[in-house]
Amino acid sequence: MKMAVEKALLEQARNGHESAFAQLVDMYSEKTINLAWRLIGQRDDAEEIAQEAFLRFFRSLAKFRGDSSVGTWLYRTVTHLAIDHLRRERLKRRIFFFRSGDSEQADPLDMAADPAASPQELFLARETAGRMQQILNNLPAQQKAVFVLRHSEELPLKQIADILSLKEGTVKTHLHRAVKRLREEFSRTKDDSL
Amino acid sequence: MSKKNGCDEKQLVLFHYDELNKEQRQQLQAHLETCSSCRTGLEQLQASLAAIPPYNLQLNQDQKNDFTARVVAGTQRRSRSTLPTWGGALTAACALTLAVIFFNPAPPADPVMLNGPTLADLEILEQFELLEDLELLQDLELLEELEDLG
Repeated sequence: MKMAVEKALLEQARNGHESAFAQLVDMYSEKTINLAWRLIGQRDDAEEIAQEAFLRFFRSLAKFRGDSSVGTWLYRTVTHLAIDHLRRERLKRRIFFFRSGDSEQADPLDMAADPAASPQELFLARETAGRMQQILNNLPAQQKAVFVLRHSEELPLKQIADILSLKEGTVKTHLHRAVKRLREEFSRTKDDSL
Repeated sequence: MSKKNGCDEKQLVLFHYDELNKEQRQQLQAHLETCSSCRTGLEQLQASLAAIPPYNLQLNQDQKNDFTARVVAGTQRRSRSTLPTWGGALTAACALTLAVIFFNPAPPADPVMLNGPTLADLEILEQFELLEDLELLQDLELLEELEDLG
């Protein structure tokens, strides 16, 4: 049903109907912004990346054959834009000692807090989550993308390989390395708290 | 955990994410029954992944409408004729060329007295340009990964 609606909107958008394109944006905006946010961690930048992805989609409407769904196309574009962004930010941090992160933006650690937990439990959970988040933020861009797409977006590795234009074996290796770092940090955090 | 004796951490990761085929899954399950090291490894892996905060941004309809409006406005900006843009760029280029020809200052005797950009500023500008080179960024990331592998 959804595919049929999407196909109809796509056809109308190609014929220049602005409202049809706006409806497509509305259908995918939350997923696209979420993906960008999970990849880069900054809400404002994530919205810019999502916006850029939609603008690129708009420009390629005439050529869009529909071999993949609009969602898959957007996922691919957002992931590539996010990877480029992460690489630039990483290099900027090394060259210019930039501090990334805006403390006023939504903090996923706050959003994940368990209201039933004791203050001590909350503190420990937050401490651990913060360290894990730090490790995630420091992963190489492609490794992080693979991890986010598998762990948070729950895409199968085959689809991730297609999105990133990588071999499935490479994707598996990236996932393994990312998880290995997270596991090592988690063990270290547990040892420190004892 | 090494690959000897059937212990393979990568397989544990793939098992956790249900990415093994039927045969591989059965082999690993059989191995887990006899290998406490791998069972512990799997538990630690699962605990560490559970510690990662879930990222889930929920947008209300106003926020979605606002975002959609921005995207649509962006398509309209880009749809406008590019002739004024090119015309403006050409005019600016001509003005700049003329300015350089007519107002070309003599080089100062003492370079220390320069009030223009310092060498450090120019170096920073060059480094900013590096940020646009996507191939370079990709190569740097690859080098970092190799460094991590030792």
